[in-house]
Amino acid sequence: MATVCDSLLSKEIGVNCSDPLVAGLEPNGVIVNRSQVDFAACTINSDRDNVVESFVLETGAKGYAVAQQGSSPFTGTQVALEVGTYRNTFTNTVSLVVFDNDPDVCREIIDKLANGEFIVILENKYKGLNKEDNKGDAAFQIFGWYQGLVASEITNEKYSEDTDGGWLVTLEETKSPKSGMFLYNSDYDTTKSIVDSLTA
Amino acid sequence: MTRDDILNELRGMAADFTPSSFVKRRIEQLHLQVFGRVFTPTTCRNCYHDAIMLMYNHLKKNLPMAQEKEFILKRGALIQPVFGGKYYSSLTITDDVARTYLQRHPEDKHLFEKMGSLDAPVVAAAPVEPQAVEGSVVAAPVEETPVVKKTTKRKAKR
Repeated sequence: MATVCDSLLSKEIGVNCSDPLVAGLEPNGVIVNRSQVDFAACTINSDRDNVVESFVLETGAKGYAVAQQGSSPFTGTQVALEVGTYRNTFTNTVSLVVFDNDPDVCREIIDKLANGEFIVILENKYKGLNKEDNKGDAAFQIFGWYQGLVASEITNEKYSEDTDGGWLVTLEETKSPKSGMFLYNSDYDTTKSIVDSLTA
Repeated sequence: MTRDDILNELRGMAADFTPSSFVKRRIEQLHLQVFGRVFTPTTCRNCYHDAIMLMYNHLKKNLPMAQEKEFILKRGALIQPVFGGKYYSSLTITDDVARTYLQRHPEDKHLFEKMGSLDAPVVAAAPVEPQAVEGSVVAAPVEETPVVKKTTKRKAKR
């Protein structure tokens, strides 16, 4: 018998008064080549299928830190609904600035970003540390888990006051079936140690 | 990371040192890899730059790195040898912990990039911490010490 996926709401839509939502992202993130993720070793929480409990890379592969400057790092990063014919999905957009420009940057970063497929892990300013259960599970959000992020815009505007002549890169994942994927294992510190180990 | 990778990274950091939070965190990670102990920043302004030079000189002299390990976890992988106890990542795991863990959980071999011999004698067993979780602070009982009051006698002025 065919399975029917229902879309029934299962939680109240309230306002968190004790731990109010905070906008924005921390200035440091991690980018990994999607093809170097060991998906067989990654695990998803059995109760919450949008929580990745372990995010493991292939042998020898590593993630690369993404450092941003300014008061609103990763400006333009967002998740938006995409209406489909039979099913609605989400488009994840990650915007970042490469504050550098030389032959090595162009060859090793920009050219690769232009054609590769990536997963980016960003840290929300709102971490949910005051929750009763799963404290800190809102901290680390994964973009590109399902389809991978690919470049949709890369510009190097020489007189840009925003980027100081750096590269503005927009990565996009379309047709993601879930509105948000999070990295979380046990607590905030343990999850942070996963993120730290990706780039070490 | 190999010794040469770390040397190159340290060389780059020393040449263009900017004490950003990102660079500081990276220095702390490298310190753990090279010396095997957590870096403790002091109030000195140059302590991070000094740490770079210490690590660079150490590796340049071909002295052994603390974490030239037999067992290397894949990046991102976490293991928990004792249920409810401390988690170990590729940055914090030791050979002894890895060996003990793999003897109990051979099915998790796929989480390791490099594996040494499981039969090597285990020098120290994996720490058993049924309650302690990394990051938690357990206050040790503090013994009360008797307070001795200093009394000063004023000399009477004549």
